[in-house]
Formats: sequence, structure tokens, C-alpha cells
Amino acid sequence: MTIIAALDNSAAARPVLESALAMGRLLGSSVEGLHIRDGQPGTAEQVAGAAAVPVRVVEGDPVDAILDALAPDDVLFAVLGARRAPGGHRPVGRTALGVVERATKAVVVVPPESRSVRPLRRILVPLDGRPATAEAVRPVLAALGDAPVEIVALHVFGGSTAPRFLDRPERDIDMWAQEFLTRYCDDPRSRFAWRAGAPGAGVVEAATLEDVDLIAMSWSRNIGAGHASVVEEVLARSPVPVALLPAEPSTRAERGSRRDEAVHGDSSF
Amino acid sequence: LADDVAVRVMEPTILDRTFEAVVFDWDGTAVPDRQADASAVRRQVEDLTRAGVHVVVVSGTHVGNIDGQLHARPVPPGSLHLCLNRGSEVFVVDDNGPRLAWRRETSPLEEAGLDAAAARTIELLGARGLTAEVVSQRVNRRKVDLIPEPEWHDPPKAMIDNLLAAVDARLRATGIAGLPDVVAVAIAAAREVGIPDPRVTSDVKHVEVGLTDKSDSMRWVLDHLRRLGIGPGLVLVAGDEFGPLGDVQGSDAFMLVPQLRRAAVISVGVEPGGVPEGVFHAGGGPARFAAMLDDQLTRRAGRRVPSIDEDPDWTLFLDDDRALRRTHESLCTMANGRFGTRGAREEDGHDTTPLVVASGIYTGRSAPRLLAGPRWDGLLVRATDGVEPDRVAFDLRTGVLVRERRMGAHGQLRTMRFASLAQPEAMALRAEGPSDAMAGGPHLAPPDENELERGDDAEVHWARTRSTFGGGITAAAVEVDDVVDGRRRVERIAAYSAHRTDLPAGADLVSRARELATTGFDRLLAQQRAAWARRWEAAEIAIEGDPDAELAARFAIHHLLASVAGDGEAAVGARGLSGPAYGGHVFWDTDVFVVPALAAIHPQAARAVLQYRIRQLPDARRVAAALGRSGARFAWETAHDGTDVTPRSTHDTSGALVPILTGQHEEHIVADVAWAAWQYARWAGDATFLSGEGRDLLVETARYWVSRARLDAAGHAHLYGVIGPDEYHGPVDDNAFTNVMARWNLRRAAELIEAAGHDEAEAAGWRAIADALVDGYDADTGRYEQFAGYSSLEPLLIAEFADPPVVADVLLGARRVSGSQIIKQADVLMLHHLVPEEVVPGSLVPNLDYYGPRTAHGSSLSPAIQAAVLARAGRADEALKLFRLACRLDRDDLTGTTAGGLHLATLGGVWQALVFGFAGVRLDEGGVIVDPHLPREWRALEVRLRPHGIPIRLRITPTDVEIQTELALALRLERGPAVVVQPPGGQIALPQRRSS
Repeated sequence: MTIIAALDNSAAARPVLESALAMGRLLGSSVEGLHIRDGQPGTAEQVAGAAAVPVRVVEGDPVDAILDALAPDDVLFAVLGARRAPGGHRPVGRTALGVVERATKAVVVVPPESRSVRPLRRILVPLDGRPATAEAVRPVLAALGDAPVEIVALHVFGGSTAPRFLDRPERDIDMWAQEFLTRYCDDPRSRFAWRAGAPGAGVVEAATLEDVDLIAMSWSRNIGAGHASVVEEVLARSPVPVALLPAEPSTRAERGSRRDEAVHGDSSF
Repeated sequence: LADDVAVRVMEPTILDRTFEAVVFDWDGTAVPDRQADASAVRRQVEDLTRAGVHVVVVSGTHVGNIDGQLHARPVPPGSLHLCLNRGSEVFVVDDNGPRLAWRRETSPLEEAGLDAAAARTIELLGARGLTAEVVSQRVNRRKVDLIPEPEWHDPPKAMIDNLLAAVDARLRATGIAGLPDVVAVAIAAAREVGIPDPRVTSDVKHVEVGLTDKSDSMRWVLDHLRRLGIGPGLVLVAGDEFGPLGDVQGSDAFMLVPQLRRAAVISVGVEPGGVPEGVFHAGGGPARFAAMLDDQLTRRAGRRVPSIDEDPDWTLFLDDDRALRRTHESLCTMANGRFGTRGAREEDGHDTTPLVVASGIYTGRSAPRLLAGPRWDGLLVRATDGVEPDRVAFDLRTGVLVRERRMGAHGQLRTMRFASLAQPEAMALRAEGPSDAMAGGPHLAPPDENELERGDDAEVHWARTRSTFGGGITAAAVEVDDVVDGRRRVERIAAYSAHRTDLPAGADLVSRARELATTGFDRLLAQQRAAWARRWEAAEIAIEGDPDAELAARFAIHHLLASVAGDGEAAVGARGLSGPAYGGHVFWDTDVFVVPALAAIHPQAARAVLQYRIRQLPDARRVAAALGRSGARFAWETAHDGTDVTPRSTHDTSGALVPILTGQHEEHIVADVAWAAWQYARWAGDATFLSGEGRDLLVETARYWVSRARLDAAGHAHLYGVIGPDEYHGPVDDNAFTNVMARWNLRRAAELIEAAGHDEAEAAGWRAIADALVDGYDADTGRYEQFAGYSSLEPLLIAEFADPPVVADVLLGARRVSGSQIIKQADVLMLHHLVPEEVVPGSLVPNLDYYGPRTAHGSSLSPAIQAAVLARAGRADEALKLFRLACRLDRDDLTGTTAGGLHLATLGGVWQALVFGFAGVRLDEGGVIVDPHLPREWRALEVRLRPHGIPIRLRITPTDVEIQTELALALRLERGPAVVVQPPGGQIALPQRRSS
């Protein structure tokens, strides 16, 4: 299986390739570079060459090119930069946005200021308590096989995602978390973490506090809806790469049911 | 008989189940005619009763005819009843023959009316040219022959078509349109002579005018079966005349009363006019009927898994949802007060929580938890092709859990399990399934975390788990596992014993397991049904117009009753016997939320809870002494004994240690225990309790409060540093709930010792402190301040940031919430709910208006109680919304923690909201006070209670209250005059008021 590393001539190229290689080692997959010629002098091919990663150079629209490269069955996912230049909390670039919106496979978006990549040892998995979200994450957990990584299953309690009742919160949250994990992240490597407040901020905050190496979150690929604000915020502010896992849109019935129950919340990322 | 195999192939699906009762017409159904040899039917009836089936013959004729022909003598555990004389008599049959069990007695006036009705019918028919004559005077009816001609003297059933034609011709010759015309004449005649509800039937040859018909028989039968826990879905009804004859309703159609729905109704008759909807026309006459009885005998001999009556008003149907599996296990907990078994799938282990626990049996000295016992209901189930999702149904009426799974070409897996209420040490499992996909497995499986000591004695296996306190849980089981016709049958009967400090020996249970196995699954099941029926007789609730709320109420009551035994002592944890959450620890939930319901519907169980508190008194005294105080200071959270087992700290998300303060400061538990004791004594009418064993629960707690209160310079008494029910704030000073409950405690204890003529000086001291305790009441606003300084907190309303219910402390942070007026649950309003006599009259509404918008309802205890006080305030429709929330709390897993067990306090709250809230029932010295406030969509609310120990049934409608009582009952409406309702009851009109 292959991981596509989309390399441009910006400062993002190095962290993108390093992230792809780290994930390739974890999953036992090869990495292939993809560069879309943009007429700019740059470093994409140099970075790939230095890492002995084959790079395919193509021309055309970057979004289309990356999606084409993702299409073959043996391609697992693509890794690409969040934006060209580092500089803190800035919106994700147009290319990254275009790819994640149209891709039907996972896409890992790497911030250019991402710290020096180390072997993946801890992954933050935000879960909103919807079966569709958990389903989107399940293949990732399966793909990790026996890899020695810790899964931090994060739930952000908000107005509609908090449990309605906690009799003794200091004790009930553990009980609640155990049930949450059993339902939505039934992996022996997983542990539960929670934040309260806005989901995007909660994810970014937890990523820092938990010192994770990757955020793996499902999303509905619906950038036009309100859901995207969480993804946009995470992509803009995450200190670590963010793997976006396309989730099947939840059905109306499911949304209604979860809203009624409001057990583990219903806000989709 | 016809070829047995061929008959079975033809049986409709509705007959593919095991019936617990068979009700049938005699002539034409069981026998071809009155002269036929009935010895084959006799053998079948006797065999059926021997197998546990209740057999009922329903006929229009008299006992001499039926018993003379049938002459069956039933063998227990089943029974034989003869419902004869067209609904007027019931005979129970035993070795000595039939004995009259019930008769519709008539007055001389009614008898004269029947004579007059028959005569008038003949007169009216004669006026139209038809000669008819009275041929017999039966019990409660008169029979008029419409064709008194020799050739039609005694026509056999087989000639019904010819008879019909002859009668029809005779009628038409006189200008009478047909039999319906005759029936109409008879009805008119009866009404003309003053019979208000004449029952007129025709068997073509006759028209009969009576006071009863077969509908009375069927109602009696269904009521009789209900008392045995047998619902109509477990009844087979057979007849031969359900359809019209000559356009007149067939005689057996009278058996089709509305309450019979879900029964299998079969006609074996000719039915020339077809059969009514809901009746399966099998035809075939008595031979077909005999084949059906044979099939039932075969099913019983083959130990087929029985059925439950799948009454939607009483049954919890659960989809097979992997994510909700553990929640469903809690919902389907099979418990009998002594032992609880979660309703896990028999083969489950991984990612589920199968668990067997025993009431009051804990392990772990530093952090005690309910000890897990050996598991009795495990099976080996192999995955096969074509498996469909499980279909699980839990019968709340009988506490029986059934499961079905279609396994493609392999067949079907069916299981039935229950924890015996009649014999609380007994558990029973029966299963059937494809032999290549199901097997029995270990008789007793180890729980996840505990080691199992095992042994066996011939066919009996025993196992036990040991507690750190020296006690434990021991079980012994007997299993039958065989294969017949490719179908594996597993039947396992287990005997359990548990003790707090002495581990029961396995060998001691072996003989008990053998005894239970000898009793057998079927008889244990019959006992189970009957035992639950007796429980429900005193506890049933019905809500007309709201089936979902009704089912929720029954769910609540079932689990309340199942969680507490009716003798000994009962340590009732926050999740009862349904799960491991909180280690099974006991909180105020039990005293304040569970005990009131039990005291009113199962007082022995309430008494058992109090026995647990009585045993804790020495520990409670020690704690008080250690704190330098007097009396008894009950612990906030207890398990094996009275030791406080509240954790002292936990870790927050950052890993920092967070103290848990409830153990030290939530002292209202002291008064809560006293309040529970008082509630029990009053509701049960147990006058000796508070002068005997229960006395110290009030007296010692009063002594504690005296030593706990501090007097200021002005002579006001204060309780500093406490936490009230609203745990968002605390410790605080002078929490209104704690202070007023303490005041109530002091006053009731003073009354108690004054009445006994004991230390009156001490009582006077208690009264003085009670009077000095501040309660935060402000006469200007009509409000109680929840605690000193509450009014000056940030005036935040819950609607400003979320729709309740919401866990405000999690969302906003504990610090922000504690600095605001947001409260977790009713606190001041709990006083209006628990001790309305201690609060200022008229203060409910101002406090409701003030604290309602500030309540997050973040506690599962909150919605039901808020619903109760809203209803009390006349806001029933508003109350209904919160009531529904409480109803759904476990069933829809609104907390996300029902997997750890049911929220027993919420279930108790549901009952309280219904009885104390919507029905508005209270007790005082004078009797029962009723002040109902029904939501607009409820047509009626019916509750069963035992106020002062007197069994009563109240049926409340928007216009009146109907009372059934077994003894004279003093009752009054709020602000109304007291009346004494004599048995069997009466009706009181409600003053009409504006709807909420």
C-alpha cells in the first residue's frame, strides 16, 4: 500500500514528507512523492531526493492532481501541507481545503510549523458520540494493527454533546467514559479524555495537553455546513498533523434520535 | 384422531406456542354432542392439568351435563374450572368433583323479571303469529323454544344447517324477518319488564333471555388467570360458534371480550357465516380440538421454551444494538430482592457485563463493592450463517426474560430466564436451539474478576465466590442437556445462598438445587407468575391515554419491587441489583426516593431497608462520638456496614487531586434516615416500629442535630459547613433543606418520646433547638434562601446558556457554577415535597417560580421530584414534560451510564411523581388526602396503595375519584370535608378548576 506525500515548493514540504514517512513506517506502507509543477523555484524534489523517496511530477490543477493520485485502490491516503508558509493560526490553504472537501479517502493535513516529526506514539481521536463518527475511525484503528500507539479518545462536552445528567461528576465521568469507549472506540490501546467548551478549541487544547503526534478526526466533507468550522479551526490551529477521515453523512433519523437522547452528543465535526 | 403429523403441519402460527390456559366451549367443540364418549377429552384434560395447564370449560348448560360427560379430575399444578349456565356459575373441580366457586346471585325481583321477560317475549311473538314456549327455567335465564315440534326436539349440532332452515321457514311464514328479529323482540321485552342489561342469545332452536352470558364467564376466567400471572396472550380459546348463525351472533362470540386480545382464538365449528376478525377458523370439529390439545401436551413433554404474554403495556421489547447491549442488560435485570442477574446474552462476556450479585454482599475493605457471584445463565452459542438480530422481550408483569434468534437454515434459538420471586434462592433457565449451534456449557461460570471455588456432587455442580468480609455467594446447579429431533434442549436450575460474613458451603446447596430441579422449570415459572401477580395486585399503576408513561411507571415499579426483599434487611444501592456502578453503595437515594414507594406498595420491603439502617446505628453512634457529638451520624455512603465509604478524592482531567466533600458535609442523610423511618411507620400503619426497633432512628438522629447546631448570640441555631441536595454549592452555612429536615427530625423525635412519656425535658430541648434553627425564609418574597449568602451569588439562569437538563458544572466549570445561582437539583423545593408541613403554607409557588429557572437538573434525581412539585402546584402539563424525562432516563440511557445499572432513585421518583404529584396523595393523622392534578392528555390515573396498611385502589379522572378499599378508609380532598369510605368503595366528585 502507498501513501501519497503532496510536496510543493514551500516550507511545508519537509514536514509533509516527514509525516508521511513516519506514518509509512507505522503502517508498513511505502511513500510516494507527488509534485505539481507550479513554475516556482523550490525544494520539493530536493526534499524527496534527500529522503530517497520517489517523486512524481505532474502539471495541472493541484487539487485534481492530488485527487487523481489518491484514486488507485492501493493508495491509502494523501499527506499534504495545510498552507505554504508557517505563521501560527491561519486558515488552511485553498489546495488543502479543496482536497479534503472532495477526497473520499483520508487526507492528512500537516501544518508547516509542525514540530520535528517523531515516531507516532500517541494519536488523538476526537469522537462526538455518533456511530458514523466511530465508523469513520474504525478502519484507522484496524490499520494500526499491533502498532504500539496510544489512542486518546477525546470527547468535547458542549451544549448538545454533554451528558444530560451526571449525578456525581467526579465519579460518573469515569463510568460514562468507559461506556463511551466501549461503544465508540473499543480498542485496548485507547483511553478517554474530555474537554468542555467549543469543540475546535477543545481538540486543539487536548492535542497540546496530551502531547499527541497526530489528530485523527472524522468529518462529514460538508464544508458549507456549520460542521466545518470545527475542522477549519483544528486545521488552522493544530500543532500536529491532522488526519481527516471522511464519514458517511448521518441520516436524518440518526440525527434526530441522537438529539433526542443527547447522550453523547450529536455535533458532527 | 387424525394423523398427528399432518395435523401439526396444518396448525396456524398462532398455535406454535405453549399455552398456560385452555378455555373451550363444550358441545360441538370438545364433543360432538351430549351423548358422545368424552373419555379421550377427559384424559387430555387430566394430562394437561398434570402438566400445569389451567383448563376451563365454558358452556351454557349446567354442571350435571358437563361433569356427567367429562368427569375429569384434575391433577395439580394445573386446574379445572367449569364456567357454566351461560356465565352465571363457576365450579372448581378437584378429586371430589365440582364445587361451586362463584355464582351470580339474583334477587327475587330479578327472577320475576326473567319470568316476565320470557312471557312477554312469547306474547309479542304470538302477536305476530309465532307459537313459542318456555321450555326451561335455568339459573338466571329463561329458554324459549322457537320450534316446539317433535322432529326438532333435540337436534344434533351436525344438523345445524337443517335446523336453521326449518326455523327460518317457520319465522318467515309468520312475517318475522329472521332470528335477529326474534332477538330484538326478546331484548325489547326484557327491557320493557325492567331488566336494564338483558343478555339475549340464540342457538337457533331457542332464544334465551338472561342476566349473564359467556362474556361473564370469560371475564371471570381472565381475572382468575390474571391473579395467577397469566395474561390473555398465553390463553388458547376454542369454540365452534363464533360466527353468526341465522344472522344472530354465535354463542361463542360472547367469549370475545375486549380483554381477550392477544389470545389465540380458534373455531373448530362449521361456521356457515364465517368467523369474526381475530378468530382463526380451523374447522375439523372435536377431532381438530383434540389434536390441538395433543400438540400442547407434546410441547410440554418436550420441554419446549414457553412463551410470555407479549402485552405491549407490560413488555419491554429491545432491539439488538451492539452499542446499547450493556444498557439493555441493566434494563432486563432479573432480580428478586435477594439476588440480581443482569440480562446479558447467555453467551456474552467480552464488551458486556454479565453479573450476578446478592443484596448486601460486598467485598473489598478499602473500597467495598458488590461481590460478583457465579453466573448461572451462560450458554455456548456458535455463530452460524443467516443469523438474524436477537429479539429480546422482558415481561415486567412476571420478571421473565425471553430471547429469540433466527439462525437461518439451522433453526431458531429461544431462551427463557428468571430469578424466582416465589423462591428467592432459585434461578431458572430453559433454552432450545440447533444442536450444532447451541450447548449448555459450564453450569456455573466464574465472574470476570473473582476466582471461583468449585465442586460437584454427582449431577450437581456448585461454585462460590468469597468476600473479603468472610462471606460470599454460593450456587449449585442442575442441568439437563439433550438433543431431540435435532433440537438441543438445555434446562438449568440453580440454587443460591449468600451471607455477609459466613461463606455458605457448596455441599449445603446441593440438596436444595436437587429439590428445585425436582420442582422443575414449569412449576417454578408458574410460581414466578403467581408471585409477581400478587406483588402487582398491591402496586399496579395504569395511565389511560398515555401508554408510554404507563409502561414507564410499570418499569419503575417492577425494578423497585425486584430490588428489595420483603424480609430481613436490605442494603439498596443506588443501582439496586442491576449493575456494578458505585460498587452498590447506599446513599440517601434509598431513604428518600425508594422507601416512600415501597412503604406504600410493599411495606415489608421498606421495613427491610430500615433494618439495614438499624444495623448501622452502632457505627453511626461511633462516628458522632468521634466528631465530639451526640446521637448517631449516619454516613453519606455505606456498603457492608455503617462505615462511610465515600471516596475522599479523585483526579481531574489534568491529573490533579480533587477532594470529594460529600462524605464529610452532606449531613442531611441523618435526617433523611429518620424521615424514611417515619414514612414507613405511617404508611404501613406499623404503630410498634417507632416505639420499638425504629425508635432510635429518630431519637439518636435528633440528638445528633442538637449537638451539631450552634447557637448565635441572638439565640438562633445554625448548621455550618454542610452540603445540601444541590451539590454545586458547598460546603455552605444554613442550607435550608438540611436545617428544615433537622428541624422536622427534632420535632418528630420530640413527639415520639413525649407520646411515650419518656424524657420530656430532653424533648423540650429538642423543640427549643428546632424552633431556633434558621430556615432562610423571607416573608416578603415568600421564598426560602437556599443557604446563607445564596442570594448574593451571580444571578445566572439556566436558560442563559443551555436547555436543561444539563451538567452545568461540567460545561461551565465547578468554580463558575458555585459562584452562581445555578443549582443542580431541587433543594428548597425538596422540602415542599418531603415535609410540606414544615414549610410556610403558600410558599410552594414563589419558590417554584424562583428556583425552577435556576435548576440545571444535572442530577438524575431532579426531574421526577420537580415534576411532583409542579403537579402539586397545579402545573400538571409542565410537570408532565419533566416526568417524561425521568421516565426515559434509563430506558433511553439519558445519562450514558445506565450500563452500570438502573437509577433506582429515579425509578422511585417516577412513582412519587405519579402518586404524590399527579394523584396528590398524602397521609396525615386523619387519613388519606387526595388532591389530584392530571395532565390534560391523561384520561385517568389509577394507583394501588396501602395507606395505613389498608389496600386501596384510586382511579382518578378529571372529574372524580373512585375508591376501592378493603377496609373503611378516612379520605378527604384537599380543603374538603373528610369522609369515611366503606368497602368496597365509592366515588367522590372533584371540584372543577381551571386546567393548567
